[in-house]
Amino acid sequence: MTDHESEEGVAHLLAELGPADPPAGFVANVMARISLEPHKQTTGRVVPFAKGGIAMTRKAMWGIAAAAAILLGVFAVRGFPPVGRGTEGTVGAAKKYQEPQIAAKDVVLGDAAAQEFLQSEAFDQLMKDPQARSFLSDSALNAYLKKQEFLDAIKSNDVRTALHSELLAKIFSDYDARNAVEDAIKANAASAAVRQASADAVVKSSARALVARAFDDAALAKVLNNAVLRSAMADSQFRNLMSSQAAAAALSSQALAKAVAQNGFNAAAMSGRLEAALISR
Amino acid sequence: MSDVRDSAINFSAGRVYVSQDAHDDLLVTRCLRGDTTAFEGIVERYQRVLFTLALRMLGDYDEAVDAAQNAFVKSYQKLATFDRKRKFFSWIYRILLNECLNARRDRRPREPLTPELATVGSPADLFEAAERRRGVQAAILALPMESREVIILRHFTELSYEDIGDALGIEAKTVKSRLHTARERLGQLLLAWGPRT
Repeated sequence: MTDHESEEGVAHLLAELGPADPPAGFVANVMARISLEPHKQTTGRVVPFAKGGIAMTRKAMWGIAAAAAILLGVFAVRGFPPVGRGTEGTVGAAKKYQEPQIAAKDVVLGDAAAQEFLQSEAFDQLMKDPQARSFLSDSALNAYLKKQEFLDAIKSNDVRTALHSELLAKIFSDYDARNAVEDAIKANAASAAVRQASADAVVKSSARALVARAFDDAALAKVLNNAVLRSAMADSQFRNLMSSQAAAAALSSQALAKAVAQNGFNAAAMSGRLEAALISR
Repeated sequence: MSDVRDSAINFSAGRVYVSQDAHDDLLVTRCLRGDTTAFEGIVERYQRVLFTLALRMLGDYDEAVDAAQNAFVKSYQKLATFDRKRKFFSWIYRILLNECLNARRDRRPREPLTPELATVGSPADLFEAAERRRGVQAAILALPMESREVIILRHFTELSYEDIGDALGIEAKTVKSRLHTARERLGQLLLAWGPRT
């Protein structure tokens, strides 16, 4: 066999493999995740230094240098301006930036609540629990700690325990099962109806059986019925974190339970002050 | 499980057409102005090609779904940093590649979803073709990443050598030489493993 024939053979086999279609609901899933993103797009175009940013910086520097040269030329011809009388040899006190006192109008309720939480015994206990601290600092959790619905949901002991469920991890790591959850939610189907749904394919019936089992469990059903928690569980990084033993320990810790139950926990988490406190201590 | 599912995917012949025109720019502009729904157009346009690339890169259906979805979400998060002088595909492809590499790094042994799934077989008349496809996919996965990239971009998309070079950050002639080497290596692997070329 010649090289050319061999390459043609390889190309033929690759063509037989062909492209693949993403599963149904792919676009909807991406858009659901994007809808949870805080809006932070800007209309301006950011040009990375590697793509022309340096050139812009150089242009600006040349502009400043040219202006300085013109100014020096003017001074050389017309003489430099005299220094003001009484200032000779004076070393003035360095003017430091002083943050103005916070006025009452600047303090919003959320700040006060967050501050109260950060000074509470519950927060102190949280800081003394290395597993809970590590869990709350995990990057996979970070985005969700900014969402009110997520924070409200994890106040429930049942939900925190359910997030570590092996069954939920299995469901959300399988695309058919994930779609079966969405179908069940959309159809507002009770667990019995889901269980009895006709199985037109082995894969789908297996997925539906798993989903029906999950809906039968009150704690798991709470997770499945919560859009933000479903979205979080569909995120593989979040799911991997929740499946870890360290997360299981953190989710069942008394320190975390006490902390999330505090009024100011949500405010501290959503404002980023909790994250800052976790990093700084 | 992924092997079973792989054979169940409705593959269509040919390659994925990658649309790269002014419409991309329009959609990006709308997104940057705060119109989130415009991103749906981007996902619609690129979902098939990114999913195909991820599937061939990883050889695992669920990982490919995750990688492709993560690539879209991250591209949305970083859209303001996209250099509009570049082609959108070249940019999002790099994000996808990083997601695939992360998925490979974080890969953990998986169990089939249920025992019955693991025993689902292909119909007899399709068995041989399914086996052959599995062999080809396995051979692709055995290639070094540098070779795998060019093979996948060339054989599963309709990108030109220039566009592939743009996505990979190399010249078109380098794409050609890498492709030649990669095909040779792939041929050797396939001969050694049995599928008939």
